Amino acid sequence: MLDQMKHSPTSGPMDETQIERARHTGRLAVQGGKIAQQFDQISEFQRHVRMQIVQGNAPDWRPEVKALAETINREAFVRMYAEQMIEAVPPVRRHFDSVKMLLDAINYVTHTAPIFRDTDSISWQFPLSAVMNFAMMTPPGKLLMRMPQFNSHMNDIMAAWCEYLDSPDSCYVLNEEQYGWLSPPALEYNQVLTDYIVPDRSAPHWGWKSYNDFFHRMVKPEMRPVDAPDDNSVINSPNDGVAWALENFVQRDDAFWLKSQVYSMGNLLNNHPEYVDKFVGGTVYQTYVNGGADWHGFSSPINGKVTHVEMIRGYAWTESDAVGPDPMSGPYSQGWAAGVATRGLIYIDSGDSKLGTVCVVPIGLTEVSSLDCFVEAGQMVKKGDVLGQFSFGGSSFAVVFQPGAIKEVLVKPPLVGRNDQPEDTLKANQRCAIAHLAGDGY
Amino acid sequence: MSGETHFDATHPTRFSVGAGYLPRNRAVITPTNLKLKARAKAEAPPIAPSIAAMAELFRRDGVVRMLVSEMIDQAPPEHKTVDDIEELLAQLNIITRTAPEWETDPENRVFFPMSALFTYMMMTTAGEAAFRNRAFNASILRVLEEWCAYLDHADSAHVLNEGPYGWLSPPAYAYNELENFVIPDRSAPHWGWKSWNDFFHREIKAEVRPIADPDDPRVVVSPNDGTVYKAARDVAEQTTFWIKGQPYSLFDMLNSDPIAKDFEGGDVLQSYLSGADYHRWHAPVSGKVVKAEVVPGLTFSNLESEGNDIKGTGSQGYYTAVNARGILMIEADHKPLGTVVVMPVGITEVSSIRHTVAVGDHVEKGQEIGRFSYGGSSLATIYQPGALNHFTVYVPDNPKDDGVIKVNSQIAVAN
Repeated sequence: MLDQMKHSPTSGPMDETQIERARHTGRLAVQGGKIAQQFDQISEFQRHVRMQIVQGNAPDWRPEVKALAETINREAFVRMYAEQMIEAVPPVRRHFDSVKMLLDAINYVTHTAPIFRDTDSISWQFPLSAVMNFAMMTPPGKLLMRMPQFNSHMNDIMAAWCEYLDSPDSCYVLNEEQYGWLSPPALEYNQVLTDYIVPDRSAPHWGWKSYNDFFHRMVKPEMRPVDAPDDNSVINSPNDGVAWALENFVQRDDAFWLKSQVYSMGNLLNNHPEYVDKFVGGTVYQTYVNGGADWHGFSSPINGKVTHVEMIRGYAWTESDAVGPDPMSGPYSQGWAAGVATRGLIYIDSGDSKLGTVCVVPIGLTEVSSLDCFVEAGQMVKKGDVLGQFSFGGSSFAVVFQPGAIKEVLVKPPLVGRNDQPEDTLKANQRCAIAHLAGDGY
Repeated sequence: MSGETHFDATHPTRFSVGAGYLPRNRAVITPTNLKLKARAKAEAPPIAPSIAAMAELFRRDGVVRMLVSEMIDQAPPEHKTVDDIEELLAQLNIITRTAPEWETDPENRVFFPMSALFTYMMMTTAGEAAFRNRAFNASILRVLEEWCAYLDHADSAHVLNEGPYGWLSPPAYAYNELENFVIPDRSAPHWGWKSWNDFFHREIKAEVRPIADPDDPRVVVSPNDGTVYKAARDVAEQTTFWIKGQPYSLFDMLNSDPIAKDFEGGDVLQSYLSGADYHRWHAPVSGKVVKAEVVPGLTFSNLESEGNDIKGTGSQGYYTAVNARGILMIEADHKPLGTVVVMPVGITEVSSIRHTVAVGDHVEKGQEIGRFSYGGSSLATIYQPGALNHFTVYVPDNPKDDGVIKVNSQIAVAN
């Protein structure tokens, strides 16, 4: 596989860049061999979907897929990039050999709920990423994913899929059979019995009302104890995750698309005039949420008052130009995504003049990219209070501090040369940073 | 092909070069751009609203800021005259109130400042994507509108003078064949032209563009002055117009109008205008106007893959599918002609395409029906299958023919 990718005109060799990025992806395997296996698995999945389409098992296109097809047909250069994208996929990976078949595949998987095959079956757990994978990484594919007129239709399709995954129709995958999410290996993989509240084990689907209801199931409070609830100098992690990046002195307008994926405060905070001024020069750290055992909710890192909430409908499928083929269709580009992806901005004012405001940024990557926020401006929150949840999909998480607010961030991203060590992982409500305090405040 | 060799190969194929707006000698472009750079640094005129809007777009849209920053970075160092997006904005701001000056030496003519500025950026990978980005292109269209307003304004008339860099100087007079045009008032300032655009789309003397066989409805006449790019027969409804050869794609050309089906198998004739050409267009046939619209399309997007096939014609087939263009449909009085489409296409410095007739009007063959303001222009006419017996114009496949056509001269015979 690696050799095939190496010789294809559309993807670079597996060079240092890629390996470094792989080291930074946390949940992903760190070796090229494992990545190659994942590409093979994507092929296997795509061939499966292709078979369903060819055999006529796919449902009619949903209206949102029709709308995308119309845009591709109507907007000449969208069609140009879409057709060039299909052609640019190396023939050995071109399981969808026309734009129409790619749309068929998108339509097909968004009428299904993900299944659990085994612990390595990433493509089956993230079917839309698996469908998009090879095409989106080609040069024309990368351009197409950044065309607003293409992206907005993808967002509409994912919103429709999310509605399906919120409905009882998606419950069929919550069963105890093989490939079911309630089968013994799946339960173990997701640590369902140890860490999570099961609504009612004797009820159908154990009481979960939909696939998403299961996906953002509630963690047992004792599994995520709130650290130092009354010590305002201790900042807790809002989410379960793996450390991905930490940057101090973040600039207002930095080149966040470069290989280093530095942050650009203006883009990260969606250019909110008042808050960007406040946060320029501050600190950002970012973690990556695991699909499996990690909790898909997020909670308040500090005691304070929510002052502003913003939900941004951004890009879902764009990868940085600076990264190589990404078997997970997104995680390599998390720093880039922080500036352009679908995300929420939840500002919480600590009331302390040194710590100031902390911004919590859940970021949706690929798949459904759906975020729910449960709080609103003006509301007081305590450490550990649930702020919101991710629906099905890949997710990343940034926490942003004002300049001078933080004494130390306790979670360090893996560095080159550190990949043989266990990665820094953290759980929601566990301490992640120590703040400077003035002592005033609420 | 890399670097300078690539530029040497592609430069002559650029529309602006073929149409005489940029010199064949590529070496002049960078020094000209350096002058603009110096002007932008020395002068600090108020920021035009369209430039402020573009700056806001760069702040707000991370994807656009990336594409434009990368297009600036990817320009070859020896031709880099813009260091960052702030400087790009400052230089564009200067252009919004610049009227082109006359230059006698053809090797030094840079009449299109924006094409010159974007020369090397357009050819980068990021530039190709940037100029196809909807938001960035819309922002450029706003800048062009604002520039057009300046070129429509009396402030732009200062370049219409008899000095060495004036468009009324003897060499400019000869180049533009002003003897063929109606000069409003030679004793008035600027000879009576009110603005740069007033001069650009000046009226031609009727007697130098006689209408071919006005009483024979089978004789179809050219809507414009220009040089033939292509005469295509049996055109398909929808094609991969971006591939080598740029096959016409009717559905895309007609902006997704389902009427494209009625033209499948028909004919297309496309020609392009040079700077000195007469910049109004006329009805190729008599009939009733049934549609008159302007499609806001791309402006500085090129098809890099085309390479240097025919001098000065670069991506013209591609432009008909994606560029800013007008679509005017005439239901011909001569029934076998069916509906004829007149499609003026704006290229690069397209300031505006203006129909001077409206839906419901009846037009006579040879009557003026529209004008190009300053900017690059190409024009296609589209015919339904069976409408034309044959084209009578030369096409550039024959190297002996120059393919030059004039308004109101015969181009085809209808059935």
